[in-house]
Amino acid sequence: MAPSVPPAVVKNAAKLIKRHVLNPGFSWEKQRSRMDKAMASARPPKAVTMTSRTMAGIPVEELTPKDSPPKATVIHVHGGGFTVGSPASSRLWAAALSSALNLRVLSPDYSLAPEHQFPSGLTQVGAILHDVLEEVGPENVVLSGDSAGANLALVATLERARSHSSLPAALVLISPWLDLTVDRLDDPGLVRRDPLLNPEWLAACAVAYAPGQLDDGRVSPLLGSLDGLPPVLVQGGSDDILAPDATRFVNTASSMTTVSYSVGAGMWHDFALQVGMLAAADSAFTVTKEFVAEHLGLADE
Amino acid sequence: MEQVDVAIIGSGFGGLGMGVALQKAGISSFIILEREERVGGTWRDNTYPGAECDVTSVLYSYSFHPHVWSKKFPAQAEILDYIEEVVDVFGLRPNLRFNKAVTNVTFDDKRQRWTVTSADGASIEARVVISSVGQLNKPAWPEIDGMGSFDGPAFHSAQWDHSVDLSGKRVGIIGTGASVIQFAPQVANIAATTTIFQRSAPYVLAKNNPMNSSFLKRLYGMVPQTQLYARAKTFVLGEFLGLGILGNKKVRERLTGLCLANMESIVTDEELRAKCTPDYEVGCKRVLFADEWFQALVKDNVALVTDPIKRITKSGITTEGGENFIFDALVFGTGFQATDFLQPMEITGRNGVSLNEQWGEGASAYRGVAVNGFPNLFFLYGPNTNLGSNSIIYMLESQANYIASLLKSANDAHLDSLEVRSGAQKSWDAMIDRYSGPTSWVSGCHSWYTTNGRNTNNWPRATWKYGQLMKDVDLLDYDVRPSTTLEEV
Repeated sequence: MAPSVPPAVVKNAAKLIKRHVLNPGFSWEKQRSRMDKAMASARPPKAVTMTSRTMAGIPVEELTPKDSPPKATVIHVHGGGFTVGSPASSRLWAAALSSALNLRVLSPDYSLAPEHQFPSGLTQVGAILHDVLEEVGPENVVLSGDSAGANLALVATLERARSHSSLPAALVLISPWLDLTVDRLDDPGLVRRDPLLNPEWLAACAVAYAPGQLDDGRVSPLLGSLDGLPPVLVQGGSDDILAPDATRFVNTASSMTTVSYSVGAGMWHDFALQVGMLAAADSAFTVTKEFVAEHLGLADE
Repeated sequence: MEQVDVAIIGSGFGGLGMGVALQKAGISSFIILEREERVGGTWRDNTYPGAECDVTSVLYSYSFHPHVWSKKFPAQAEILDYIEEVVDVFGLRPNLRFNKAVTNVTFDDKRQRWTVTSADGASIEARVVISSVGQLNKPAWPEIDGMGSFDGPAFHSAQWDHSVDLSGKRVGIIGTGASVIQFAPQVANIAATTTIFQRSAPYVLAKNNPMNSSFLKRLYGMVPQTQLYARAKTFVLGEFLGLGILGNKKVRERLTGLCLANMESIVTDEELRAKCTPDYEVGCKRVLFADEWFQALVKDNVALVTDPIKRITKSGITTEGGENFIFDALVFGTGFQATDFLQPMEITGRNGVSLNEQWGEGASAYRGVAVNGFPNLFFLYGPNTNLGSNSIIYMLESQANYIASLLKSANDAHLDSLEVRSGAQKSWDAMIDRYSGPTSWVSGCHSWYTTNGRNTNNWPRATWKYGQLMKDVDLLDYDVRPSTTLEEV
């Protein structure tokens, strides 16, 4: 997995996505079809089998190691501002995790806003989480998500904690978007530094997802209680436009549960997904791998 | 309680270089706590006669402050002057706090800050603590029956008692390590008799320590690049010498031959030759450099005793063989408690974990500088960063620059604390063990390089490789905590 691409090139690709894909001037359809095209090349490595399934009536992409039966399950919820993206957006990362630790990785292809507003994506993620926890037992499940997907993963877990239902063994939040009420333009330095996300796009996504309900704790979990969580790994970049959300989460949740936090210096939103391309993403992936292995009892892999 | 951003412990080559590195990284809020009344570390403590550097002087200066030395291997006083000069040139005086012998460094889980307590009872609260207490500063005293029963003056070479005049006296010296081979010849020059008790013979190479010619000094002064060239050349030679220790059998054999030839060119008596021939592999202990050692041993009024010491008596020393030696003074050249790293400092990290206990089984630190469970605590000259050949200043500078840029990178990302991940530390240890396998340090002799047979002190790869690794500063090796406010630090 030695990165072959210089960081500047990956950063430029992020800038292209900012301008030509995640652009609030384009319709959601146009953004989605361009995103799909950009991700079309994301084929999983040969060591992993990709299957389309349906769980709880929701389409799910399943990655399993080819050579041996999976030892446990990770559910990864993709990002894309609740409005675009698909399991393909985080497929390289998910496949790397599946193959590195012999895991089944499930990525729900949840329904997107504005056609399907809050709480429909959340309900779907919650239903899949419930089924998987019942199927294999909570000690064999880690839930993860990136960006808006991290929001859904966190809120789905908090809902279960509130109802005293079983919880996944641990939670991985990559560049989480946890407060939809914040005007990101308030931190112009960060806006300038993040090559991937545009504050206007975030604002448009927020309104598309949960119009009139942005301050609901189930939409912006930083505004609600974070009580009852399992151990959490948070990853972000110092140039991530959503870094303040990670910071606030870590500062609050650290007193309630075990929180690990890793930051890529000079790294941007969702950089950690660029496994095999970016040295920092490979370092971040090592952290994730060790964290997931520890909490699934797969240490010494 | 006084609060500081960074507290450095120790003002030897390490601590002062750390201060300069912090200055360069734009971190100006730091203090340097010093146990004694002046800077200099090893070079302040070791004032025994003949104390001098055994690393070639062109290498023995900071890269950021070149110096033209008077000799190839400079003496203690000249090195101490150089260190004082660095303090003034870089304006470090205001950062220094003297007579602060740190006894406890304790992490406050609630405040996420370190409390640094010194022997005078004062405490300071620091966000970051950098320990630069060295590996060789605690004199080691041997466990011999009757210690303390000797009537005359007795002292350790690192605490040389200059009030004792050894001229015309009968002097007993215990040990044959790096210090002894420097001071014993000086003692032999003035004492009536000098008797040296040896446990195991050292490998010794000729030092050949000429004064730097006035031409060379003018050249180095006027065209500094020429000294840089000499520095590079000497560095490469040190790397080559390192090869012998690091596992190249041919180089090791050649080195053994050179050491023995050096000894036999001076010592002709067969019995003394046998005593001077080491019974372990070269490089397992430190290879020493001296021009006066064997020359002193062949003198009529100098004796080398290999019969083990049975006990120390009121009047001298009795050996296992039953021989009684009468002395007027005893000097312990028995070295330092090297593998303790921290004592008498007590370090307590997150959740009350004691570092001294954790390291009791054998010290380990990521890159020699950071330990899981001890956020924002860093070490200079920590585990696995000593060298069997080549200059330690290169290692210290690599560490200082790494720590400074790590802290800067954390400040830039608005982070308050850094704790190395246990996974990162484990991978590092595995790498150290892998490379230590073929070295002669773990070949079985008793040396300060190992704990329970594991190499805990020495860097097992090429010196330049360490420098290269330390330039790669990755925040992702650390579990981090944000600053509670998002204001610019």
